[in-house]
Amino acid sequence: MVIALAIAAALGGMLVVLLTSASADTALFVRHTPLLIGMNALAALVLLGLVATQLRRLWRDYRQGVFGARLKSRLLLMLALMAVLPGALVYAVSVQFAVKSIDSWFDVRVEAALDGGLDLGRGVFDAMQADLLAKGRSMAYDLADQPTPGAVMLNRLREQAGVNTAALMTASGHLIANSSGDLQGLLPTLPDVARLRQARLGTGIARVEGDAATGFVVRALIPVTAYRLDAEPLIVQLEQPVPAAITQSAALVEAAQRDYQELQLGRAGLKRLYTLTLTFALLLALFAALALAFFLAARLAKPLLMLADGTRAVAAGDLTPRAVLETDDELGVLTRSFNEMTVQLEQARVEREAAQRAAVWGEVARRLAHEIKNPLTPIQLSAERLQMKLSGKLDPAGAAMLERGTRTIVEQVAALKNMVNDFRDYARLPPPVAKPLDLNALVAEVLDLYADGPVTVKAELDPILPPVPADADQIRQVLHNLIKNAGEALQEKRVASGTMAHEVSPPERKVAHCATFAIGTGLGVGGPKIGAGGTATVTVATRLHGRMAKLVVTDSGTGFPPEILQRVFEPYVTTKPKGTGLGLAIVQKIVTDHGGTVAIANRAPEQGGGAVVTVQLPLNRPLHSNSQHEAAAA
Amino acid sequence: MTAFITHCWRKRLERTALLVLGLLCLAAAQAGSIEPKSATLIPDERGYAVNAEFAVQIGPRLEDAVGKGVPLHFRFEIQVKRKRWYWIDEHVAGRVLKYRLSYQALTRQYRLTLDNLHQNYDTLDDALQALGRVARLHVVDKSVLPPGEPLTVAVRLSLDQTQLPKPLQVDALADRAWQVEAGILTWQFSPGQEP
Repeated sequence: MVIALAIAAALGGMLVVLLTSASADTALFVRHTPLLIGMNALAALVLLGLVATQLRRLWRDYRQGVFGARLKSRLLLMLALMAVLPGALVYAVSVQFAVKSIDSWFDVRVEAALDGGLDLGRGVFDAMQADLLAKGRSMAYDLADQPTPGAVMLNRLREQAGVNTAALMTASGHLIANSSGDLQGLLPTLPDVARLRQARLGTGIARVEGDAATGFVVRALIPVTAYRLDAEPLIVQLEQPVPAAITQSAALVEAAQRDYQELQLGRAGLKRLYTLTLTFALLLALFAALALAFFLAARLAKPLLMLADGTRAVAAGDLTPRAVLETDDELGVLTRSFNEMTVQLEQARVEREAAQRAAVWGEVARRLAHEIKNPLTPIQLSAERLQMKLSGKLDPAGAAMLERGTRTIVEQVAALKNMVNDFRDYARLPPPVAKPLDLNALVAEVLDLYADGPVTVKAELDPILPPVPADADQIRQVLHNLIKNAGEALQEKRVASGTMAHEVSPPERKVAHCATFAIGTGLGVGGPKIGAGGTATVTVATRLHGRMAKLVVTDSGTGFPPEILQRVFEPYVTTKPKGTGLGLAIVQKIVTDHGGTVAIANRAPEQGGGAVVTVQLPLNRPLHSNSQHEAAAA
Repeated sequence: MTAFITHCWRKRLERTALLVLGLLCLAAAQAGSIEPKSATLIPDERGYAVNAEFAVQIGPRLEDAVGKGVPLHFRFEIQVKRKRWYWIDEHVAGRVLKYRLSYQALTRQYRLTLDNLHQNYDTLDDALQALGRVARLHVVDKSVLPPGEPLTVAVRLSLDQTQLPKPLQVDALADRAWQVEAGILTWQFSPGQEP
């Protein structure tokens, strides 16, 4: 649509230029003026149609309350006014000016002067004709006296009269004698029969012949009335050239008068032509301006509509990023800022939700720990007492059973206590006390603990990593949890592949769990290294990433199922049969408390599979003082 | 009552129609016309020539314009065609004469120019009469015409409006008084069957 408008406008502009040149009297276009007018009218109509279509569409949108139609209409109206008002003014002035200019060409005095000049010329010609007639009559009178007028007589009379050429002929046009002042002595131009008769019937006729280019000649025909009745009637013809100076002046006056008359005659048409040209120029310019206004209105309204759209979406709770306007002006900045704002809002909301969830879970965990831990000690003590008191009074088989039962109770109570401690740790996680921390040193220190473990843990440390403001104990906990998770993932993979290879007996499974426990507590337990033979390793890397310190823990284990990946940081979400699901929840809580982020993703199979956990800790975070913690706690 | 109103309306309608008709007549009267009166092809030494006569009336507006010095251009056209049932007619021969009619205010004479030849006339009527008469204008060589085959001949004398001064052209677009209707005379002709 816009393209069609542009083409039509360009075409119209071209036509107007052509029409203007035609008005300016370029010979090339004069003959095609009517055609040009028609084509201009057509172009104007086409443009009008296109603009009308656009207007109708906008009006329909406006009536139906389409979002943005109002803004577009107002912008269009303003832009159109900006184009129409000056256009109309220029048009009015131009038309007035053109019409006035044309009128100013015509002046009664000029006209009168030109007419007077022409009359003067005619007067001169008339006088010359009268003069020649008079001379002719005098010659005719003399010639009539002669019985046989001849060339000698004619020549004498001609010279006496001072006439250029004289000829004597019969009434039927037969030349009798000829006399010329010119040396060439050419034969005179003989008049036609009608004129001869006209001359014979009257007292003589004279008229000016020729034109300005070849020179005017006054020619007179006078009848020679003989005294003798039987004599043949004769006619004398006199020719006298009009002097060149008079010819030139007369011709000039005539040409000027003719031009003036022609202009006068075309005055209305000329005015109409100018007005028409100007009108077409106005119409085409107006329609082109309107078309441009449509385009500009749409362009101007676009970012505003985007913002409005975004605002409505945000109000409705949709914080997904919106399309960004890629311009470097204020509107572009505005939309980008708006997008940043929504992103920040989204982050804030996520953080808030996470914090809320953490707080709720923390409360649950604290209560649970409290409620469960209280009866555990009596249970354990009671079991031990039972064994102590009863072991001697039972037969060996009964004693063995008691021994087994008691051991199970004690073991399970210990495990339960461990679990409850985990809960308590999560619930009572204190706010971090940030101090400059050498992350590389911490990683090295933690990895030392896993040196003899069943899982190979490699370190890839970035030597230029600056100190990170962090709570060393909490970050250590993060590292432990992540490495433990990774190790468990590797082990799961091994168990899974083991299942494929041969039957896995329950004891073996138990051993595996024990190994997990060993990793979890960081206590080295002898045994075969998991993944020693292949790529089954855990990698802990540190990296400097802008103003963040990155801690990346990668394993080549089984990775996370997709449905778990979404909620992996929520407490009690676990892939492990015996896990509390608090490991990653604690990691997230600590990292979030440090103002950082933690992300978890599965690696592509071609990269070796497994999962990668990325912790980012800000480097420029102000060190926390204790007072702040107290304030926060309060 | 109704009848009266109807009567009134009819009367008014009639009057309006009459007025319109009158105006139309007036407009037609103001516009000029060039009607062919007669035209024939006659054999000449090389082939055929045309004799034609037109009644030329250019109307008061153009007469006035000529009197004020605006030159008028006329075209005399003759076309000889052969009818073809399967396609548009074949052009066999044709000629165009371009006349220029002007007025010399100084000598009060009308001048008719054809190519380089010109002739002066004392009155416009004389000039127009001369314009409307074409005598022995060679049209077509005998060798071009197969004898006996019927041909269509058309003649026309018309005002060349494109040669008018531009403002007058614009006027002529809307005003019939500037226009001259040119009639076309068409007749059938079979070479070799002429007397």
